[in-house]
Amino acid sequence: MGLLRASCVAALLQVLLHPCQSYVVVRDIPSHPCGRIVGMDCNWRLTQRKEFRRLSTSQGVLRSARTEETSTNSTMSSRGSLPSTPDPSMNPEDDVFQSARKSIPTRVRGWMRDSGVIRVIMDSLVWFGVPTFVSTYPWAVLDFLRLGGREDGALFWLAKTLRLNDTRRPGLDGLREDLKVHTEKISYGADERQYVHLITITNPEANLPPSSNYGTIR
Amino acid sequence: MAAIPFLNAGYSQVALVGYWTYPTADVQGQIDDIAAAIRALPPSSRMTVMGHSSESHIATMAFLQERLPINRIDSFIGLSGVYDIPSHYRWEAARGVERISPMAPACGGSLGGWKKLSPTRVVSQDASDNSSFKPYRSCFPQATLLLHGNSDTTVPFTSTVQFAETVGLNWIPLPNDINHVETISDFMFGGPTREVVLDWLDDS
Repeated sequence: MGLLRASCVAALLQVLLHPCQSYVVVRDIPSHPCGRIVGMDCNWRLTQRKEFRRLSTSQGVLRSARTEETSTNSTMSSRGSLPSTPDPSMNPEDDVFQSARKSIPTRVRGWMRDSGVIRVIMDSLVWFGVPTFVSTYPWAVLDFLRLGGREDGALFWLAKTLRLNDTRRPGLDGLREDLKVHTEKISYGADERQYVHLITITNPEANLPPSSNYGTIR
Repeated sequence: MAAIPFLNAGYSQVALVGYWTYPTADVQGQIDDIAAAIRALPPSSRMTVMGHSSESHIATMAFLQERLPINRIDSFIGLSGVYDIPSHYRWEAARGVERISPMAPACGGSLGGWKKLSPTRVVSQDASDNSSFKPYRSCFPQATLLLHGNSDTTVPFTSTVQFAETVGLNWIPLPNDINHVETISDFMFGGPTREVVLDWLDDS
């Protein structure tokens, strides 16, 4: 229980303090009114898609005077459907930070941030989230290993033997079985953090539709 | 894991960019990293850039500073981005994280520096100065989409709304109560954000 709690705290801290490295994996599967898992085809999902398409048309266009003449293909949604902005001081998940602010001197907090101590802590805490990740999304282990090019490893064999793929919930698509991927690390600078992980489909004939796109994601 | 829906949808390659973080580098250094990383990719005729949270901020500033090869990039997707640093500092202060968050020092540590690295402020400041108007919309790919969850308590959705309206970019309110993490974790484990983005890419 203690480990689970630590993992959740680690995940929360990771998002709050280091959003550019937000490998947060702890979350519940979102549900919707008919009680099915998001991602499954149902009337609710189709309704949402229609609503999105409606918003992405020219209805509810708001443009500033300066951008009107330069924007050739911009369409914006109306503010009318938005809720009011949440109160940042009322989030119970931030209680830990509010109490830390009271108990840790400002100078110490600043030193921890500027010396990289907080970054090290955050990066280290990610590992505490791994057990929760595996227990919540066991099927994702297979996808993770395939993306990392470890299909020949013992871990992949173990995951296959344990039939983790069978735990995949309907509608939650993983990496297609027919795709073969190759991952390489391209360095663009002197530092070890300056790299790009490039994932390439090695059997593009299996992919539909044919494409030569890149997507840079983080 | 976030690459999976794009690989399944027909993208032949997906690049995940790593870059220096504070205190090793400030935001301008991160912009330099992103620009260098994209230059290092193999030649491609079409490219989609996507960033979440601070990455969306960095990518947006890179576009505004014309550091990215706009002729090679045909679409940009910004998820739950921070676009106004002074406003977000006030938000962080209300949450109690402003002294441990790297945002303030990474953006220069002063109000002047924050404004220079705030896409919303850069555009609105320039728009108020009639002598040096610049059509900022043209800095971004024609197909640009900004998304933000209505239930985001890490970065308020008003950040995206204000920036999109200032520049004239698409923004779409997500169809469910989506928080800060879910706009990216939906790509890994399924969810409305993934559906919205893939539909939009199909249409654009």
